[in-house]
Amino acid sequence: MAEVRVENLTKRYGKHMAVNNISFQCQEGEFFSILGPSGAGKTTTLELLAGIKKPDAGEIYLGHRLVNDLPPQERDVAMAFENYSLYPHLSVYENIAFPLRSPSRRERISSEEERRRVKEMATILGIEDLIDRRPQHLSGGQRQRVSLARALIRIPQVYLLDEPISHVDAKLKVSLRTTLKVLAHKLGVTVIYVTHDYREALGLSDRIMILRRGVREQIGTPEEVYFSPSSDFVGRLIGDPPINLVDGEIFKEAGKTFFKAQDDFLFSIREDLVGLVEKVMWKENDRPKVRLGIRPQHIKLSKEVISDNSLHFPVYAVEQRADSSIVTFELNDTFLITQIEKSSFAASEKYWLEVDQDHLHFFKKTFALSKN
Amino acid sequence: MSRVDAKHLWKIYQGSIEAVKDANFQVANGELVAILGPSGCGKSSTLRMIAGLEEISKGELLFDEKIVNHLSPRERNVALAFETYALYSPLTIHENLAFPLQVIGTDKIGIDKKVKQIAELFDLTDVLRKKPGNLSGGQQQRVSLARALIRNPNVTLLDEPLSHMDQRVRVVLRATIRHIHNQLNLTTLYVTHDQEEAISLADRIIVMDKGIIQQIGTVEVLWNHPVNQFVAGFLGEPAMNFVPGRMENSQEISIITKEGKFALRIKKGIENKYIGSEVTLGIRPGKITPHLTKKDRLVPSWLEVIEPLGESKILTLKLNGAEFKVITSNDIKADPGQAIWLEFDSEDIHIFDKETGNNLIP
Repeated sequence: MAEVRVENLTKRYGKHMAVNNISFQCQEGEFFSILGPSGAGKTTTLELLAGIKKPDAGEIYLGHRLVNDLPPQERDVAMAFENYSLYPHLSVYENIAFPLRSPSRRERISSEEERRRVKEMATILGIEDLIDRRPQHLSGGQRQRVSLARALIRIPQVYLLDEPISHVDAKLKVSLRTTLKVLAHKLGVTVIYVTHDYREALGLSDRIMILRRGVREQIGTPEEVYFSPSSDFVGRLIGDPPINLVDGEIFKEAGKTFFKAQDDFLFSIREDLVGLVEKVMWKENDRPKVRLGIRPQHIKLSKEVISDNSLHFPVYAVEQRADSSIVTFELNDTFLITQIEKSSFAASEKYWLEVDQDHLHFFKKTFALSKN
Repeated sequence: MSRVDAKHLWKIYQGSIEAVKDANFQVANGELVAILGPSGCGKSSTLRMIAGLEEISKGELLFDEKIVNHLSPRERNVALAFETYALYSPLTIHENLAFPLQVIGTDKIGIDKKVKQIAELFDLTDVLRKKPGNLSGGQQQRVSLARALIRNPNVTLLDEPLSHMDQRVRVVLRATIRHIHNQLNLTTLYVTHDQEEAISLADRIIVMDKGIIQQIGTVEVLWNHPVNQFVAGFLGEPAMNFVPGRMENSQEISIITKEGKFALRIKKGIENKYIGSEVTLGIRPGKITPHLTKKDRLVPSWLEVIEPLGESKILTLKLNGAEFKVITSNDIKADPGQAIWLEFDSEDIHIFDKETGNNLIP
């Protein structure tokens, strides 16, 4: 087990900055996720740590060793790839056992010990019945678990896992997520885990680093990135249904500060929040604007007017979930999604809604919103 | 829009593989029904039989009480949309939408009017002159749905149309599908393996497994009164917990763990013949309150991990050696290995037959 320290890491592909001056430190035994959409630089970062690619600038320390110039096999890391990279001519058993037989290993283990460990790992990941098969006879999700088993079979300084359960079907994913977390905890290993799925990142990690186009956007615990997203981008990346983002104008009248997205989407902002608004405001056509963020769980709905700060809209659509209802409203430029306790709301009837001001976020605008 | 009746439908491949076994269901005029099940359950075969893309091996399919078994897809006038959009890439969006109307010989004025209408409904007015390659995945799927619906189909058939969309697009498109279904008063069948999608969209859900319809009902019925352990376990994420238990009397079930015997009350009485028998207790992760201290009627378990998910967290526990999950929004702080005492909501305790999996208090 080792800590991982990365300083000013940069990787270019031609003119494209895949990883742009990233620094982070991941403690010994920490479960550290890298979260972002495709093209954010997650996999490249992992490949730089593994030694499969060489950085253009920056340092990588595993423990106290600067490993920039070490080849992958001398870094003592184990990596699982999203695209499996299994040996097609070997059985599942042989694929999983492969790292135990590597010539660079100092001590050899007996074949009984090898069999025991392969079987144990295969059982943990639910592929024990497949160990005599060849990879081409497996489904994507099964191959992915073989690849993960091969990575986890020995204990290195650091595990590097790239979307290791992304192709597994939804039901199994939830249980594998737990399996991974339990396993990491039992072994006390350092794990760097790449994913585009915020649920995996929140559920598994001690801390999460969010990447956007090669740049570090935020680092924090699951609670920090969920409850205090540093940008509209982080807010949108985390949560389901996704956070509502609405752009609007800020103006003052009769001593109050108002947010107005359109004529009928207008409410006053609580006085103690005005400071937050002013920090992120920008000017458009000489008018101050701000991007409002509010999670679907934090909007109240009612048939009757709630207060003089309520908004009145017709329901666009209602979706039921097992123990909640999703009620959508159509604004000029976006849909407003609300999630409320299960109840019957009729489409196209008008309802009053009000945002919970304890849960408002204000952001700078860092990308354009669209209905789609 | 038509009413659909499926009567004793079978799909048998190569003379022996029974993909769909004796399916019976109705879709009322204006209803949105989802067919839900794991891969290989027969849901797509069922849809393809209704579409006319697959021959019906046995049984009858009726649209508005007329048998359509031998009609071609076009004669049945069904709209179809799949996971892949299958748009014509050299054509503009306008031309893509106009295509089904040209095929049936609608005049230009009629076409333009219909295209304008449907484009407005699907928020595509601004992209009519673009080509599919210049649109996002979500927009392309809108075009595909709009094109399917432009001919006023009798029945709309959607096969996993959103399964590879990203989360936000999916939520918005679901709302669009539901909105348009209502606006146009469509009759829609929607195939999915995603229980969340089925729950969000459908008026009723048909749950299939191994070629057999397990249960048909509204979300409320399937959620609160699943007929068997399969349906109970398939709806809900994380899934319902199942624990072995024993019926002590008609309203009490006990769980025996290393720590002792724990008796729990159930809401409904069970038939006398089950008293004294071994059964499976089912309870949903959201219907359990975790406590850090021991109290009467609480069941002990041991914490494995806590996974935060924003508004709530999932606790994975060991209950008598087996994995057990609890979802809570309580601010519970505990370390792995620590004892957690569980309070079961007796309203949500389900009892299943240990052998058949049938719900004994449905």
